Amino acid sequence: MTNRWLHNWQAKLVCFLIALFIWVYVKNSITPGFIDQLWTGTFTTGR
Amino acid sequence: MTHLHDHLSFIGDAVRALIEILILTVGIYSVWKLFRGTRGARVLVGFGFVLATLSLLSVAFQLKVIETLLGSSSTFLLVALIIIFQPELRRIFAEVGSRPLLGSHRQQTEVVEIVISALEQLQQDGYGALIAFEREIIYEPARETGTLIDARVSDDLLVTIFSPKTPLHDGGIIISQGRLAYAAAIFPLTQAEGLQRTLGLRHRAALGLSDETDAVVVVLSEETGILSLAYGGELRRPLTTDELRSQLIGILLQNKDHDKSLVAQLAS
Repeated sequence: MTNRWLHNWQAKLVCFLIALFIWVYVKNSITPGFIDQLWTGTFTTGR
Repeated sequence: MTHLHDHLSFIGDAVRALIEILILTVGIYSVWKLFRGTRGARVLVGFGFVLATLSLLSVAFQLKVIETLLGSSSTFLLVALIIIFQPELRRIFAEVGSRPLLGSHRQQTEVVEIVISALEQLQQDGYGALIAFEREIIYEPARETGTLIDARVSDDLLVTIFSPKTPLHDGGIIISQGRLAYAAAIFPLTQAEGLQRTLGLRHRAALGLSDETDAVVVVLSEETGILSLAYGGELRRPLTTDELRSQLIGILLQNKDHDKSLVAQLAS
């Protein structure tokens, strides 16, 4: 089972990084200043 | 108490964010798996790269005009993507909604056995063959160019059709719902790049039809006697007759990919 999940792990990792990038980008559009909060470590939920 | 509430709220948001990112990851990976090996894959990668770079730059350097342009042109980009990837999308949607072949399983197994037997004979004689098992999507141009046969599939008939110097030996045959529907049909050639130079027109046609439809196409090379199977824009070769039999039955009857759970598909 472990092997099945690790199969094609490079592609899965790249997909995860792309997803992370898209999520941060969209989150920044919804909550302006989100990336700045990440940078400065003053993370709040923005809600 | 307020402190605890803040903590719980933060954990809740973090979990929500993780779920969102995981859903995105699954979506992107699924799209990549579906587009992998198709002619659209390179375009998609290039397109994504340009878009990601522009988005990153616009955020990093606060390029408001670029950001606004990207935002306002997103609908246009979506329509453009749908037009560019129309053949791939058609195949993908057909695959998602497809069911095992019409006709009984026993009948289909018999047809596969007959085709294998004919291929073995053609292999011995040094002849080539191109056989498409039509499924949900019908590629009308191939039918129009072919000659209507509508006969029971038999190995003698298949060998006769693919024997050189007979009028129907050029092109491929279409097996539809367990019957030999058309012969001498012309399949679309694949536009995929990076194919081996040794692969001839038969292989390109097999790949082309599997690009455009959910058909399973078998190729017997006249030059090398190698058996190949094209499915979903991918060419599997070289195959022994036993491997070909199990793969054909696997795709046509059990429809393994569709029966697998989403989790199992993603794990592979």
